[in-house]
Amino acid sequence: MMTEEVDRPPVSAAQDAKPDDAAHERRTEAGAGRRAEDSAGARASREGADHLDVIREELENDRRTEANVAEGRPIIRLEDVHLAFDLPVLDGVSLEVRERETLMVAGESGTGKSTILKLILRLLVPESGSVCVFDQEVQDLTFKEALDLRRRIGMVFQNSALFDSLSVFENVAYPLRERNDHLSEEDIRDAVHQRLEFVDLNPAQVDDQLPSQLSGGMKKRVGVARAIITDPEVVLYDEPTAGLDPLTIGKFNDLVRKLQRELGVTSVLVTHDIRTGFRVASRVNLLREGRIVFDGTPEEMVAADDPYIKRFLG
Amino acid sequence: MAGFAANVEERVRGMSTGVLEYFILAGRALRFAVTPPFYWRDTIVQMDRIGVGSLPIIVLTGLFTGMVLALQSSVELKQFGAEIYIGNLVGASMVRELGPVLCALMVAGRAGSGIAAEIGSMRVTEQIDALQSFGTDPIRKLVTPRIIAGLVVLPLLTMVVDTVGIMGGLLIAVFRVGITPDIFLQGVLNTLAQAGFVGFFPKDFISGLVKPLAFGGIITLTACYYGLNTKGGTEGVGAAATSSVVTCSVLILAVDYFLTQLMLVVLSPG
Repeated sequence: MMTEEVDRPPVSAAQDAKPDDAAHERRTEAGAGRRAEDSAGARASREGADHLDVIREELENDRRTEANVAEGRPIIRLEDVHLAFDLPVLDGVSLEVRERETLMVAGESGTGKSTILKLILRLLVPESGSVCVFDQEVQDLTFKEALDLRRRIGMVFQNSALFDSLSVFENVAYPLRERNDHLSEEDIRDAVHQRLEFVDLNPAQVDDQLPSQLSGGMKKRVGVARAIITDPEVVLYDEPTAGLDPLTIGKFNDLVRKLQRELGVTSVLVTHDIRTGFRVASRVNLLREGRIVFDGTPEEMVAADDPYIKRFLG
Repeated sequence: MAGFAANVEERVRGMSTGVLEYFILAGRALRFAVTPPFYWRDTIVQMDRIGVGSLPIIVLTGLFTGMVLALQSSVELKQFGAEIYIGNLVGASMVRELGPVLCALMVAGRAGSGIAAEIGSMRVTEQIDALQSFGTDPIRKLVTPRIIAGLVVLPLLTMVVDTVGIMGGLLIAVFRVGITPDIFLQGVLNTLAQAGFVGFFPKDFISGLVKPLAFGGIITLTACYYGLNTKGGTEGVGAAATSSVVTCSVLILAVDYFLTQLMLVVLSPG
């Protein structure tokens, strides 16, 4: 059952983004609170600040967003996609991912965010609508064509999805071996070590370890190394920071930005962790009950006047 | 009433879809067995896990089955002064029925549940999605090697069970009943020869190896089917393993009957 807010067309960030008086008031109050607590230290005053305020502050301090807004051609396009399992999951989703941009798909748990990634990879096929990746309609692809498509996309899974029975080295090398490019063992070893170093892991230490011997943050890094070993054009992230501590989340965000900066990959980041998403994404799509209800930059989202978006941002 | 009918219809439809999916899975897995790329390393690993891993439990099962068979039959045969036929009875029972069926049931309990749980946990932890995202067909990578391993290993394990079972019977016959080893073994050979030969091989021996070939396919395919269809987290993994063992056990016993019937027709004397 769709609510009135959901049935409305997606909020146009350019039209609807206007000063948020309520948030401004809260910010003023928070500012007053901070002044009162100055004697108790800046840290305490920051903890007392409004959550939305903190997000704004982080965005103001971090100007990377403008630099990352991509003007490239769309390489992933979903149009009016419907999909249901027992209940409707996606109810007319349309979105676009442009070359070299990082799109964050945000939304509450169970709204179909991960389903979008599976549609892009053609692990699922929509009941109606169109999913177009690299100018190919994924639902029209043969099984073999779908396998070829997937080789151009890297995916970082929510729980890393490392193969339990393989060592870290073999996990990262797996996509290379599957491509069957007749690489020598030495070439594979060099490539694996290069990617492990890229994600700040020491190959000598982790090569022979099993996934069960790694911490959550290390598993995520190995997952990223495995996703980029074949130099994919697109990297998909499914809740990459779920279950990580704040310090590790920070390191992970730096890693994602390093990937954008140094490898220039196009990324789709699915998360409900707003702060992580805003730090790395150039554009945000907000999913609610199977529909995109907002499409704009993180700044536009923070400034949006929509009550649901405000509630979502906390 | 209408609700009940709808419920029954839904269940029947679900079951028939499941059976269809089962055979589609079998067809694809067997097609991948003859088309490259092949995962030979995975196949050998699975042979080791299913075959070598099951060996201790298989040896114990065969040994105690042969021993108890000799013990029980000796009580009955003694009444007629026919203890010398213990070898015939143990040999026929082990090679024709107990060897293949008990071996298959033990492998279904040990390796089948393991396969279902392993693939099931891969499903719920998105490792199968990860395989697909790297362009790997999970049926080719996970199912085909296990089915090939099952087809190769089950007949070998059955031969081990048959041999150990007959040796167990021999122990009881010699040390408890008091007949000589040569009489016991002569009885075993007589029974096997009685049904006739195909080439150099006794028909009972062939029949005893055709069954495990079928059972090997059933166990691995069923376990893979339940593993791939696991839903609902760790609870689902447990349910997949349980369903796999139950379905395998019923299928083994049912298929055993039909194969026995078939063998009696195909391998009948004359």
